Amino acid sequence: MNGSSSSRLTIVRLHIHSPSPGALYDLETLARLAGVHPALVSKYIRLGLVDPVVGEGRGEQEWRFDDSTLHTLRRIQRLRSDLGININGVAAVLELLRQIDGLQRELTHPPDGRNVE
Amino acid sequence: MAVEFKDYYEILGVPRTASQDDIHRAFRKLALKHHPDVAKDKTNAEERFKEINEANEVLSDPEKRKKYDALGANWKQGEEFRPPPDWQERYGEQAWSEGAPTEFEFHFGGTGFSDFFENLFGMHGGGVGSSHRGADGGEAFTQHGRDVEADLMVTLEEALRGSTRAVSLQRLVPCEKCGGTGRINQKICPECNGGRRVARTETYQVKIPAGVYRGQLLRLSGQGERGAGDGQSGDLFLRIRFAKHPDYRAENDDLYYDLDVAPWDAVLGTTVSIPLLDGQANLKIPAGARNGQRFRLRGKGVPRRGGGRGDLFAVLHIQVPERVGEHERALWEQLRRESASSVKG
Repeated sequence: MNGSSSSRLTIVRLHIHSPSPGALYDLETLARLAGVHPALVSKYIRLGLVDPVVGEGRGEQEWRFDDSTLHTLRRIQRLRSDLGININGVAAVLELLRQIDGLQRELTHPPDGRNVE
Repeated sequence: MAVEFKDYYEILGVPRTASQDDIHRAFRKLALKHHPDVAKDKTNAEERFKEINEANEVLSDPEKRKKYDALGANWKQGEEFRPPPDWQERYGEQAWSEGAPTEFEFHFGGTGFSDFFENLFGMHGGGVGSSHRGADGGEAFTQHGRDVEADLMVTLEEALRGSTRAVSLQRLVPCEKCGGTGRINQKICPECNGGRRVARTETYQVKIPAGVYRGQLLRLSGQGERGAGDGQSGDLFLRIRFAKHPDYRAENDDLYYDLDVAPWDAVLGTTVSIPLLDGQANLKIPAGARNGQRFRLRGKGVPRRGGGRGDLFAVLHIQVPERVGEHERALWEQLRRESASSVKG
């Protein structure tokens, strides 16, 4: 990295970004956003790596996904391409990451035993 | 152009005599540890991972390694790197000299590789992303920009009501002055000093919608790392974190409020006012309330995934007066004599 400190600048964007975290995507749209084939997404769902937010257990046409599914899909692709982890390995990594996230939350917000009846 | 020399052996933590197997093992180990998705320390993971990748890219390829070894023998980490004589013969000194016309074009930046790497292997540096031959026979390189992730700390009130917030992120972005080429009219770009990327603090105005839950992702499309070639930019994912609230403890979607009451209020019962995230609620404390007893105010917690809100629990804490006046003491003493309570001191 040879970007010198003299070339640091600050840009303030006045444009207001309005993300819509409630947005739902169908399988096609999700696959396009994630840059993978819809069939691969279906495969991940069958293997339990990701779940539809709506329509789980129903037909593909009824599945709906949100940005957190998209985020997970991109993560799966990164783990596979960057680290060469196979699908079963990715499933294990995702599960462990979820557990670590839960543990870290407990560390920052320990459940307060004295209030539990 | 002088760039910082990178000691790829040191980056991978292997001796210069390491076998291909050693290098592969070291890479696997470090890549797993520093991959941005799994790293414990996320702040530097992205840069560190790129460095590890780059070291592996060179050392795991016998041809690149040979070239690197020939060059690297005389440099130490941190020293400026200038090309040795035999490289000048092959590619022309102009490639590294300021201002001179160049026949060795670094025609692409943004592979995620360092300038050092680009100088050495820029012409042959495919191998990540998808590269294909361009129409002119040169190597055109297309790579999607990586997603960028950051935490966004919001107050519980903001989560409930929504707000517009300024979010600042420091990141390396392609230099706009030279279009990320490092050069203007074959001269070193004064803005990025030929580095092609500049550190920039970008401030985004982000509208946080009402009802965000903890861990929810706000996706700012196309605001991640810039893609290379025709590649699309990545997205920026802002992960909602809840700031600690002065009045409540948050546990999952539920809130806990410590409600201090006087002993007589606990004995006789009373009505108290409880502050909510969005207003006030009157809570009836029944006579004979116990210390630690919880009172549930349904749906007054924080937004939860899938809609709705968690609950708010007021937790009763009977507070004993620290000091009592003479008259008050007399009343307590009378109480002690006359109380039918089975609790004995």
